[in-house]
Amino acid sequence: MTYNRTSQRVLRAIARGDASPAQISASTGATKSAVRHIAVQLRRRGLIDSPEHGTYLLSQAGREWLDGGHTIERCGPTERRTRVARGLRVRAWWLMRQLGRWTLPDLLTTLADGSQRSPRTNLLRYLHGLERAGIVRRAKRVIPGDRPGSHGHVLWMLARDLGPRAPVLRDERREVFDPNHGETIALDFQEAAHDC
Amino acid sequence: MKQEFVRTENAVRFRAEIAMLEKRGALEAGWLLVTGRPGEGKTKTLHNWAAEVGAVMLTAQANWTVTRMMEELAAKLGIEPVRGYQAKVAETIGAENMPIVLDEAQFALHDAAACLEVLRGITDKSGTILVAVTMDHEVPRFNRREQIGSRFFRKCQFHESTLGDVGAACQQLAEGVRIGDDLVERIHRETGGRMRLVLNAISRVEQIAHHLKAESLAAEAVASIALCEDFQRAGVRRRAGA
Repeated sequence: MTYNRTSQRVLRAIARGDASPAQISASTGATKSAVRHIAVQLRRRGLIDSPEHGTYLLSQAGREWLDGGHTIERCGPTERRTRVARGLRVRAWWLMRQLGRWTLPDLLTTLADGSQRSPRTNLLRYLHGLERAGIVRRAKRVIPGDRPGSHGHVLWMLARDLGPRAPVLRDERREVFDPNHGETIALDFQEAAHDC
Repeated sequence: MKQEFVRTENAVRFRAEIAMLEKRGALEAGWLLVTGRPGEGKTKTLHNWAAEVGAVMLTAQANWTVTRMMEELAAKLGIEPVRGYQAKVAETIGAENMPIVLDEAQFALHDAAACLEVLRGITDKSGTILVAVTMDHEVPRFNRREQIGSRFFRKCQFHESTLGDVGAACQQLAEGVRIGDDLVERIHRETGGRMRLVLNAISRVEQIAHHLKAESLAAEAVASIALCEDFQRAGVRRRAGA
């Protein structure tokens, strides 16, 4: 994460009441895409909240941060920052390898922080793609759901551990690219898609 | 119930500790000790962070040996355990600045802390972060070994969730029902701030609200209904009553 003076300006703009990327962009001079990117970082840090998509509000921690006179500074050369895997699917792959068996709620309650647009659909599509490539499979057992009338949650299992790098699902080409071995795996559409 | 990660005060404090660790002065003192009771969200918080940074996470076990640990590390990194793989493991961790997370770290103290000494060698060379997770009462055992204890930069203690955390979780996760402040207080009191139990209670409140067709629920409406059952506390009650 790189925090710098632009992030500071964005935070101050949100504190002034600018709520949308367009308003913040107009008052800070940063592009809307940069504002969105910075907002994700600020939100992860707990300085802002996003009650709905594309709307930002200063959080209590953000208010205290500004009132305390703190500034968001650019990373210095002495700072040893660990790399950050931002993509939801990349993070999900890490968690799948870690858990070995999981349900979709396991992934969502650990990884979805509200900043993603539709994490459930995104991960479901990814899981279905990996299933068609033979990388994950469903256990026979179903985990009961919380809601009344729920059919339960599919228990997924890792069938092939390709390695630490997350497989890339290429929907249009109907294949999965394995960056660990540099191979592509064709999707098998023989089996019908199931719900989750 | 919505399926999202709840950013509790514990999670915020953990992130702050990691941020401080990254700005440390002594390169070799890059270890963080995480302690707390079960059910306070340690594993979830660690998974959330470790997935983001692509850390390599191991769980120590009783009678863990260096060979077994290195084989597990190699498997996580996708390295074949053939001759010279140990050097390759250390090289990969250093090259990719990959943090190491060690759950149940007290088991790595076995055999004169041989496993921790090997990890110390790796992190000393590469300057990567190591997060060790253990129970509170095990902390003195780490301090007894000076070489290991001196590597710990700080300790991050996970506490029971606060009333604010429980309120935030109720607001963030409850679907189709608004949970009243008095009910939030009851959930906080009855769960002892354990997030695992709080989630069960929210789910129960949702079911009750669905059954009653209510849009919001206050404590009075569910006064006679149990919201969560703490297995450990139930045992205590039974023993006390016997």
